[in-house]
Amino acid sequence: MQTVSADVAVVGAGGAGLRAAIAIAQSDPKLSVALISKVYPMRSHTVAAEGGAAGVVRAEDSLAHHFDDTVSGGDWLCDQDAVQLFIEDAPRQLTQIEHWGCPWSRTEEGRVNTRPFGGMKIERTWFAADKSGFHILHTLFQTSQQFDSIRRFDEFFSTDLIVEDGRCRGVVAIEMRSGEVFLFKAKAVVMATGGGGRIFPFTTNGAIKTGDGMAMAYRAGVPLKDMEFVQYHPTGLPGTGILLTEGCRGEGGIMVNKDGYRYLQDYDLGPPDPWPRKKAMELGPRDRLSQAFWHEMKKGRTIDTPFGESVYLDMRHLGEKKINERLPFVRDLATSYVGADPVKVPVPVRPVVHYMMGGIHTDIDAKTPIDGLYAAGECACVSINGANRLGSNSLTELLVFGRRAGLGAAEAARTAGDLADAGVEAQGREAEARIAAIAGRADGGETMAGLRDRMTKTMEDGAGIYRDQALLADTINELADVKSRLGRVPLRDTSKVFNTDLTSILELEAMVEISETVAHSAIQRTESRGSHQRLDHPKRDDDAFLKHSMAHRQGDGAPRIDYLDVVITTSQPAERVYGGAAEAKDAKANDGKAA
Amino acid sequence: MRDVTLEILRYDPDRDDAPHFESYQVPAQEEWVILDAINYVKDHIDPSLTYRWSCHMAVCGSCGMMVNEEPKLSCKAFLRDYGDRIRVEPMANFPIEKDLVVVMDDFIEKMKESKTWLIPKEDRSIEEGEYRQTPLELDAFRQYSMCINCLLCYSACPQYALGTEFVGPAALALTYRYNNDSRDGGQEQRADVFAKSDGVWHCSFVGACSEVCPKHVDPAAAIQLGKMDSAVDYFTSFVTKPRSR
Amino acid sequence: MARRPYIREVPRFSWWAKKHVYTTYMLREATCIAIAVYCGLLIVGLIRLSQGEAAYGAYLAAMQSPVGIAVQIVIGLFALYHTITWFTLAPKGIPPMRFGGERVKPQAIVAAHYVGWAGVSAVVLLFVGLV
Repeated sequence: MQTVSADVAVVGAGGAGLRAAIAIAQSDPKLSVALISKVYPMRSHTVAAEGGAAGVVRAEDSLAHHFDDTVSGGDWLCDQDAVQLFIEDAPRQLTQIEHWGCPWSRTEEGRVNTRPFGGMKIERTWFAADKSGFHILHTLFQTSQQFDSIRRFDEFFSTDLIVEDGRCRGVVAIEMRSGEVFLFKAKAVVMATGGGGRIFPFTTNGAIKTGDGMAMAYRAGVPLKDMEFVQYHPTGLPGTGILLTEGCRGEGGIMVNKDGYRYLQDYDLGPPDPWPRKKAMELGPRDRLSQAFWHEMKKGRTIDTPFGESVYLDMRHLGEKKINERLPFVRDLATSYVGADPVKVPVPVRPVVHYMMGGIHTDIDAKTPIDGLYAAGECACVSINGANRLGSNSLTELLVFGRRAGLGAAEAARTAGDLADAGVEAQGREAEARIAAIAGRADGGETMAGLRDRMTKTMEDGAGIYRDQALLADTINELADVKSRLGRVPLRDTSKVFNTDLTSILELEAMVEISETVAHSAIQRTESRGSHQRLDHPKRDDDAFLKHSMAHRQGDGAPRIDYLDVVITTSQPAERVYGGAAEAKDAKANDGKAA
Repeated sequence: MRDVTLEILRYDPDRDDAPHFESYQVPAQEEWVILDAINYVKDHIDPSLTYRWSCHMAVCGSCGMMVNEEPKLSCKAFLRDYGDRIRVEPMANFPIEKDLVVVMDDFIEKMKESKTWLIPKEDRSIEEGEYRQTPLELDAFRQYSMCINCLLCYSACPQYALGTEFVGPAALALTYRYNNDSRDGGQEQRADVFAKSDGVWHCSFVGACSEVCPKHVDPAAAIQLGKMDSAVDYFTSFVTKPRSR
Repeated sequence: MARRPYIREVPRFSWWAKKHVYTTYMLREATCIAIAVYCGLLIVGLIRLSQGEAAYGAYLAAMQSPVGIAVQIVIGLFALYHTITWFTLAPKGIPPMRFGGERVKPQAIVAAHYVGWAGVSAVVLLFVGLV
């Protein structure tokens, strides 16, 4: 086992991890940072975000609007103190990456341009055509190169957090190219490992999004918060699940069923005209749009394509020029992967698992309950996303809370004083032995892919867009069975070098672990809120469930779920309304003020 | 559905002295990409098959490989464009770590040596808001900012094949991208790598990099235009101090 | 076992025969030899001209002999290849231009080169044919 010492270890080098590392380097160049990632930074899944990042910049917009859109979009499960901090810092952080070179799309006057997104009252999404995440990630990666205090450990697969005397003291990771186990000793650790959409069979998420970091924190004793809230993006390509950005609808794309009917008007999102109207129809929130698809499918009004049931996203009326300027990547993806050029034909789409609102429990400073351990990005739950994340808040979240986690970890490292190492090394050796034991397993007749497919299938069956008690109970049983068989998967790759057989077994263990937290949190939340819809409990129940679910690990058994109150500051829970109803409500509120 | 034979170049440093081909029969769906077929092999035939991949939408840049001797992103190489026997190898011009995984340290170092980050022409505080940049100014470098670092261009470049001292297409294109950003003033600092014999002047304009680039970055154009910038700098240096943009 | 990256050797002298795109590139580069040979022929012509009418007459006769014509046809073909391949690459070597707010398309740049070539050729033919 090799040992590396650093003041702060950052696990994950996507948007949040890079932002954290840069924040540490800028705040104190004397602090050494070990930036550990299982892939090269530019492969991180931030790269796949398309539409943009929200931050108030237009004169007619206001922080209050961003606050309201976020809180109501999250069905009042957001912590409002965190949302307030987030929306205030958002424009500053978006400006900061502009200063680092991010090629945001511009107005003719050279200002940053904005586009509307779903559930948004005023255009506030900063965008770089339809490759916003790509540009943010590459800008952060390229910027990070200039800081000598950041030492990168690319393609190091992290397996365990070291917690000694109630304080996080480091990370154990496998150097993929050599197979060597490394112990990273640190005074503080930032988790920025992304979500785990791969627990579902049909997702926009890349192969690397297996929830490893969530599982590491969970095993180290941090509760996972609000795990039952899984966002379906309404417009994924059937077959592959490739994301077509909400920007398609922000630019004016419409959604129709097999009769060419704009079906969203049947789900409290209308009226369909005049168009475009913010926070209405196609620019409703993602949870509502995905749920509407489910109902259309039940009614037999979806289109049966070779790739599965779909509806159409029609962008033809935008014209070739606008599509090429604003949505070139979308055009390329739709044309290549489903043979539908959006300039000429409507594109078949369907809802697809996109984002986990839940994650590692942190406070408003990105700190977990364990001293010295911070988390940011999709792996964390602050929570600003509540029960349904507002589109284009997540890229901003990476920047705002990535930076905050970095600054918090830097301060924790500075004030740590002398820490004893003996227990840390012993834990490192234990972790190394556990990894080595996988190689010695007997063949128990199971395969990684076989168990993975069982897990993803049962997650879709029981914990999909709509859930109920019986389905979730089946899923819980199936997951327990899968979990009991994990030890029977033999390691078939015997090489030490770049052993992806080993890492995929470790990834599967993490995925099963977080799948359980999703299913158990979901079965115990007997209400419907945001992305968590129970057929057997269709109403929101604020009396019982205006609370965050907290999943605590109980050894190898089922997680224990308890609850934490939501922070409410100024916005009392109310009915979520969109479309014409929302305008009527606004008008009424204005009348009230005038009177 | 169609049966496809994948011939994959395998190399396990623990066991093999040299790489060798192995064949796999894959019952493939017609709409699959090569990567789907490779995933099938790993899931159902041999879990030790080693390769990189993630996004499956041609933006993370992980899954570059030689498909029938051409550098391709395997997630965007469609089976419909190939016959029933397909040959898959690790990207040319890089050392093979294992199977389809190559060593790319050289590129990572070159990115850093090339100073591929914004060196502001003038400092600006956050409170002053964003730098002004017109769509026209953005257009001057935008295409070159689209590089996903997949390194297919290095695999296609015979100059890089013959000598890895060449900085190479992607790193030079990214340097050109920053040199031509209206917010940037770092051209002089980057000239040490960019405008030297191992920089743009090493390129003999084969143009293969641009042909294989999956994002239409056109690194060959960036390099030729970089030569022009470098030449102008050279001649103007006789009469005045080096030009800064 | 530790890592042992494997380096595939590139043949130093025959690498360009492996791929069509490399071969066409080498051929393009090789055309300069033909161009140089033709320049040499023209210089010889000048020298012969300075040596008097008889010498120049012999030179012209040699150029008009079947071998001379064959050589010139071959050189002409190389020159044509040289021209076409470089015209194709021209958009990459020219800074982006705008016309009416739109970027000039690469095809337009290539077309402009052909138009220019035709124009210059016409002037030369006019000069040779009519004067």
